[in-house]
This record gives sequence, structure tokens and C-alpha cells, in this order.
Amino acid sequence: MPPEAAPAQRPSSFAIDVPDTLLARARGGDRAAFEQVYRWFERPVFTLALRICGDREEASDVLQDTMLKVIDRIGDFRGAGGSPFWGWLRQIAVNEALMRLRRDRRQGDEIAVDDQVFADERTPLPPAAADAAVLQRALAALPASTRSVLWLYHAEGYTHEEIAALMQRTASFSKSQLARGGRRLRTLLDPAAETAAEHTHA
Amino acid sequence: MPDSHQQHPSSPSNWTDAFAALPLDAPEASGWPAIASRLDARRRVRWPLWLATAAALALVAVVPLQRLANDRIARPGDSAIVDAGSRAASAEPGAASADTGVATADRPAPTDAANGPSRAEFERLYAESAQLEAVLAMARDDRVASGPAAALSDELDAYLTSIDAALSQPALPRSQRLALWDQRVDALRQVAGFASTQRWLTATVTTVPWSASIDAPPIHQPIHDVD
Repeated sequence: MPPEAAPAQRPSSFAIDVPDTLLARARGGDRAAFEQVYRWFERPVFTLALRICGDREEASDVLQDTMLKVIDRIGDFRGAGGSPFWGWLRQIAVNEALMRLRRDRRQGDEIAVDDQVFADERTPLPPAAADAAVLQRALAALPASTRSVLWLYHAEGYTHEEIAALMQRTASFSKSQLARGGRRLRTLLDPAAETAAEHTHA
Repeated sequence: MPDSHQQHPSSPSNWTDAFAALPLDAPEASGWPAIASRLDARRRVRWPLWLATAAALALVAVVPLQRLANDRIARPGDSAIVDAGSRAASAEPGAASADTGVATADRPAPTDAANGPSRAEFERLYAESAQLEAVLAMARDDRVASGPAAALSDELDAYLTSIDAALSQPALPRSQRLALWDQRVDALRQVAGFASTQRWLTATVTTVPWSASIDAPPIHQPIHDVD
């Protein structure tokens, strides 16, 4: 059973404290230690990859590539400045998933600046946001880059500057996709509100 | 404030809360067997040449004899011996999985013989697979591989990986699982035999004429449709 998640301002599903003894065994090439690390991080990595890539098969590939890189490079992890192992592993996972988006030329999938999205950001989230299945479907309907920005910002707690660096774009891009993505998500969750907002803007 | 703007009691207050409440997703089948098998494919144990050659040849000779003995143990009607064989194989927990990374999670529960392959049949294949993996670990050495030999070895590894991928499919019927394990053991025999022969030739011949002697043996077999 994995240890309890470490407290964080924006809790990430990756925030699992891995004991130093386990890391030492993994650095020594202990196969059982690698498997333990894999078991703990399988779901967080797969979920992150699924949110970014939007495809289960691709998410499985990202999971596998991430874990192989972690195994190959675990000797490089030193935890300098108290940075946790999970943060290092998450960085590899994000890079792998975004690299796949770039390779498939899907990083250009984003909400265009002239795309009209009328939902009002000041209102509370629609009740459907509490329905996991509905929210997951709505997220899946967003363009890949927009969904990535939303997930990295809200679920993983990255800043706009960090997202810009990861996606090789600007902080303004991250900010605009976050705002437009949030509004689009509202309309997908509550189409009636969109109609009302559209009439207000008309 | 209009009613529509009031917070629904069950609604999350922001996207961070909404996303955090989503359940974590998981792949249909664990990806660990595939990762373990890729690690195995990369693994290159560097034993002293004379020692590895002797050990590998000795084990290659022992494994078929042991298989013959196991076949005799698994004869129907001799349930006491079958149970003893199963216990012997089970006495090394994770023997197959530790090296191959495939077996542990996929081991089927014991069922009666009328429902399909018996547990003893699986146990025999797990045990042989683990033995052959051990042979392979000793016999392989990149230092003695010529280009064509290394390519052939990679092909065999790819074939093994494809079997492992098929084995990792969830809800695989027991008969199909057994057939795949059988193919896996056969493939491992080829890989281990090939690696051992290469070792032996390197130890006894100054120049290994691989480029001239290999006529692409038929190792890249398709995974048979066992239904």
C-alpha cells in the first residue's frame, strides 16, 4: 500500500513520499524496488498522460516510456534542495506526454483567439462538474493543448511560466488557453448557460 | 442573485477541486510485465567467458532432461505426483516472474481438469521458463556477438516481447494462455540455445564465421491462433 500523499497547496496525485531506502534499492538495480515504484506511480502517470494525450493507448505508451526513463536515470536523482522524487518523476511524465503531442503535431490543437466562448467565468461551476463521468467526457472534448494547460495548471499546480517552458510557448498562451478552456468546459457541462450568455452578449 | 448563479451543494467550488475529485485512471492491463520484459531484453550479464560457456552448456543439457521428467510427472491419472510437482514449482515464489516479469499477476487459479488446462501444466511451463531465463542470463554477452548474430538475437527478443504482450492481455482464456506460455518456452529454448552455441563457438574458434554461416533460421514465427 502506498504511503499517504504529502500535503501540498494544490494536491497532486503524484505527491507520494517514496522512502529513501526504496530509492537506494532502486538505484542499486533491485528489480523488486523498481516494480514497487511502478505500482505506486502507475495510476498518476497514466491519468496525466490520458489527460494530455486524450487516448488510452497513447497513455499506456507514455506510462511505459516514462517508467523506463525513470529506471534508466534514477541514479541521476539526488533530491537536491529537498525536491521530492515524485516531482522528478512527474516532470519526466509530463515531458514524455507533451513530446508525444508534439510528435503527432497535435500541440497546435487549441482554442483559437477568435473562437467565441460565451460562458461567464464569474458564476459558480455547473453542478455537472461534480459528475466524474460527465466532466471526463467534457475534458476529452477539448483540444489537446487547451486540455493540457487546464490540467497542468489546475490539477498539477504548475505556473503559467512553467507551462510555457514545458510546452515551448509563452506565458500569455498558457493564460489565454486557461481562460478560454475554462469557459469552454463550462459550456460543455452546461449548454443551457451558454445559450443564456450568448443572448446577453447579443 | 439569480438562482442559476447559486452554488449547488454538491458542486466543486473551482476547477482545482473538480479535477482533484476525479478518480485516477489505470491501464486495462498492468504495464509492468512489458517493462520487465524490455529490461530483460537489455540485460547483459558479463560472466567470465570460460565459466559462462561451461555453465550455459551444462544448463542447456539439463533443461530438456528436466522437461522430459516433468512431462512424465504430468501424466493424467497420477494426481499425487502432479501435486508434488506443483508444490515443487510453487516452492520458488516469483521464480518465473522475478526474471520474466510476466507470470505472478497472471497466474490462473487452480481449477479442475474438466475446465481446461490444469495448474500443473502452467507450473511446469513457469518453472521451465525461469530455468531458461537463468541460462540466458549466463550465456549472453554482447562482447562475443557479431553484427548478424546480434540482429538475430534482437529478432528473438522481439518475438519474446510480442508473446509477453499477448500474455498481458486481460481475460485471456486459460487454453490460450497455456498455448502462449508454451510458445514462450519454445522461443526461450531457441534464444538460450542460440546464445549458448555462440558462446561455445567463441570459446573454441578464433574467428566466428557468423556472417557466412547464418542462413536466417525460421525464428520469426507468428503467434499461433490457438482458438
